[in-house]
Amino acid sequence: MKRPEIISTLKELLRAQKQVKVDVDAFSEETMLSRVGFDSISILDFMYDVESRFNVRTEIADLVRMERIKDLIDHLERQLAG
Amino acid sequence: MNPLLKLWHLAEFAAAQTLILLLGVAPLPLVLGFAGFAARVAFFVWRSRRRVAIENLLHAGLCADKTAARRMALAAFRNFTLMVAESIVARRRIHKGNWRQFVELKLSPEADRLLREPGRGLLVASGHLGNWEVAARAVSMIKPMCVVYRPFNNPWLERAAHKARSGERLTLVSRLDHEPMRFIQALGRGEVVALMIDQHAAKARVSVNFFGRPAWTTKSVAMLHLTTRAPLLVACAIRTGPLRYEVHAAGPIPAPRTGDREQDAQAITQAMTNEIEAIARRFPEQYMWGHRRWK
Repeated sequence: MKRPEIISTLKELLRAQKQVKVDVDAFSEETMLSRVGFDSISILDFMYDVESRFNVRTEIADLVRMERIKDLIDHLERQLAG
Repeated sequence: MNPLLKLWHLAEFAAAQTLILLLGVAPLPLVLGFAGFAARVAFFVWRSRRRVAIENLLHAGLCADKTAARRMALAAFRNFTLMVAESIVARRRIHKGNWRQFVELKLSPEADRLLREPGRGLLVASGHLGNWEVAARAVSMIKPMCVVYRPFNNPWLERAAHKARSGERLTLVSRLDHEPMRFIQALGRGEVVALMIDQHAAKARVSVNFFGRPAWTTKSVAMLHLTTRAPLLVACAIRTGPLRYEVHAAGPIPAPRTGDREQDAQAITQAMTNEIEAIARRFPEQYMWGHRRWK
């Protein structure tokens, strides 16, 4: 899966999150995950949906390193390439 | 803030500080006697909680009639006041050098291994059983711990309680803290993240069967487990005598991942709730029945 496709799928998953109340289209790769509008539960819902949709596995160490949306996209790119 | 409310908060804070100071230095038999007396007063005065406790015990099928339920409810009130009083005493008397004299660990071999494995993040679900304050303090002696708690409305009381309940390796995080990555980071640092799962949840919840009735329960622990794959235990500290406890831990709880998020969260939360129910059935007098669990 190419990077634009990953971004498009992530945006679709973000739109499906009821708790995220900000403009998904306004996000850039540099947007901090902490600015997306997640709370401590909705981010877990989102990460579960990401893993299920992309069929990837994310370890705690990967999650801890993710600060920006770019980090998540990079992670998915690496996982899907492997 | 409303001046009357401010005055009330100050009076409440002063009373609590005085009580904490006195309980902290008083001989243990006196503390226990006071806790027993306070339980009787609370049981008599706090009618709404008493009624809820009796109704819950009857619905749970743990008492044959109202008289037995009333007796059990009073015992549960007494356990609660003992829990508060002994927790205050424990802060002064139980420390890293002597905690094993007060707390015995009754863990499954796998739970014991996970708790002692350095750097391994661990999720612990618990309930309002026995003495959850001492449980957290004891476990934090083995592995740093991050506990989610409900803050007091009184800001002075909240600051003092937060400071008193925290420990060198015990971090308290308010349930109102919505920093999304806090628990993931704690697990990443190899800490224990502990949450209570036996209170009515108004949001981010799943419905589970608890004592034969559906009860809304937070899905936070299940989701943390599904996302981080940190091993998941259910643990409680049962009181065995004055300032003596046994920490029981079951698990790891198996967690199938089907791709249906809500179904997975429900299945895991149900499995944890079953463990809490099993312990509450063994020690019903140590469970906090006064909470409106089924709404």
